[in-house]
Amino acid sequence: MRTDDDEVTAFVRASHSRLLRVAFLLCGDVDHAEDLVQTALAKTIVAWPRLDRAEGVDAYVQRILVNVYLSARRRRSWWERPFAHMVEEPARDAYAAVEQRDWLRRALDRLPARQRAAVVLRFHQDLSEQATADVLGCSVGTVKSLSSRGLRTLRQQADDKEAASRRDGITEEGVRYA
Amino acid sequence: MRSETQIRQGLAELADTVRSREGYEANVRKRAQRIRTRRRVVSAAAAAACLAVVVSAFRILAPAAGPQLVATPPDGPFLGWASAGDALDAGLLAEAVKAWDSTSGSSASPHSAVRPLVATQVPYFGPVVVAQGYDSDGAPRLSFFTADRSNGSALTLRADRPAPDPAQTQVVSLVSSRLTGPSGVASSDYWGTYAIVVAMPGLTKLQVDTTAIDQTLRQGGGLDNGRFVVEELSNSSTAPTTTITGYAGTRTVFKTAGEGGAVGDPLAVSAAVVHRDQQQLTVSLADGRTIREGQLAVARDGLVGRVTAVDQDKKQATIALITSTAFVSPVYTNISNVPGTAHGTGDKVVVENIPLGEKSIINEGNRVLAPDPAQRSDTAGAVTIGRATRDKPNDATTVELTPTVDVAKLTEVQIMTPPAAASR
Repeated sequence: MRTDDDEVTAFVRASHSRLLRVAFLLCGDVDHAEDLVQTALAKTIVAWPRLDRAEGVDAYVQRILVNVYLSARRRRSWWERPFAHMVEEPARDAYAAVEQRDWLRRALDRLPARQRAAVVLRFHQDLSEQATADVLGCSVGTVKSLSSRGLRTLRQQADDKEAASRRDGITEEGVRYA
Repeated sequence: MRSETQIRQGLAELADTVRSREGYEANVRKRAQRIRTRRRVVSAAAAAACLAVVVSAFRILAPAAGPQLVATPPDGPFLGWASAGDALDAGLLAEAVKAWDSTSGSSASPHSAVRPLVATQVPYFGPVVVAQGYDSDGAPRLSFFTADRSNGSALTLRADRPAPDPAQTQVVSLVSSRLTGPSGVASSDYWGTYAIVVAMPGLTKLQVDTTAIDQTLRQGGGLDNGRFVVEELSNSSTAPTTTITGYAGTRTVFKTAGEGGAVGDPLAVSAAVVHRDQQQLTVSLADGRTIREGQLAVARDGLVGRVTAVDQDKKQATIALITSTAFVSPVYTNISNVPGTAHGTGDKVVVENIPLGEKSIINEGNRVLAPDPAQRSDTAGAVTIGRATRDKPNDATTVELTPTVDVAKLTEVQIMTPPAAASR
């Protein structure tokens, strides 16, 4: 018969990687993502004896993770607010996929926290609108609005990037030589 | 990257770049332990803070909610209460003792071992002294003194009673319309009756109510702070129609009728109801020697009837109810003083002989009073007989009354006897 401790160990091992990926998409920084996941899992372990297994521990820890992230962003918003974003010209890189990931990470960084969370939960975790609303603690309508605005911003940034690339003579396929 | 599919793919590729680091399990467990420790500390601190708040709140609120009443030990045959009201006025007390000693008809002088309960000036009323002491026979007495406004505010003895039971008494009072003029003379002022009340130590509030006037007409009536109060009442108010309530914080300690017995006041003699029918009551008297035909029988809410027969052998009296055909009395409306004659018709009371005229207005609910012959005054101690059942038409000379006393529930009445019959 498995004890609570065994169950906790199994749960941590099974969910850490998945949560770490979500946390990275949320915050864009590996170390910070590690910190968020540790906090979310630690809180889940503390609450483990009273958790309603029927509700789903996965849903619970996901909600904790997003809440920890949003709280961290709120705290940072007034005492750790960046005064400027480093502007980097898209370097011509043979590794287009790497460049694409880097661009997406920067694009996500520019989204407001709740928009970013909605985009990650809907388009990475494939949560339904209702499930996303449960995690974010808001209505389905708010989820629709957040994810729609998040997507629109990402698309706008993609258009800007494409226009800049054309201006510099760089296409997604490679350098266009005159 | 414009379509949702491209974004999903991009997010998946971006997320795939991170991998769990070595030792993450231990880190998670350490952090969980830190959270547990922190929560325990916070819980303990919160519990301590809550306990402190509860204890502080209890200390602050408990005295106001209900101070402990500690019975004051009797001072021999006297109440052992500390003096009440403002600072004791030794000059007033000396003047009161002098008046007590010199008053003819009171207990024999001189008085000794005089203990004041009150000796102070009361705003808008004047000096009040309530004192205990032995008379020359060594009997313990309780006396009340107020000023005679017609005689340069000289202190005058108003009541001289046997001292009350020092172990059981919670309040002493004097309700009378004879507290401001010469001894034994009722005030003619509408607000000419006063209630002087002194309660046991520990009482924080006193309330004086009367059924002789509507509460809405009273000026400043209500709760009074402290254990000594002088309350102004309408001159139809008497001891039997006055109720005194004492509070310690919010707790009611006593609710009792006022005490009368000022010099010149009628004496209310209690009588138990032993029989009743549509027309009359038969009452039992402990001592019927002072009861005479024509005297009024009253209850707290108003007039019950008039004594029509006294059987000294049986120690019983017959009282014609105000609704009986044998009852007739001059009456007048309260405040507007519209006169008339009330008489019973067998099942109700009607006021007749109301003069016609612009000033003879009686509206529904108006209080109608009957003078008490024992008062030797038409207005002092007049008893409420009932209220007008409906508005009186301008051309009408009669109006029906709704009695204020529910005779069906009466178990005891007070028969008002004249002061000459009152024994000391």
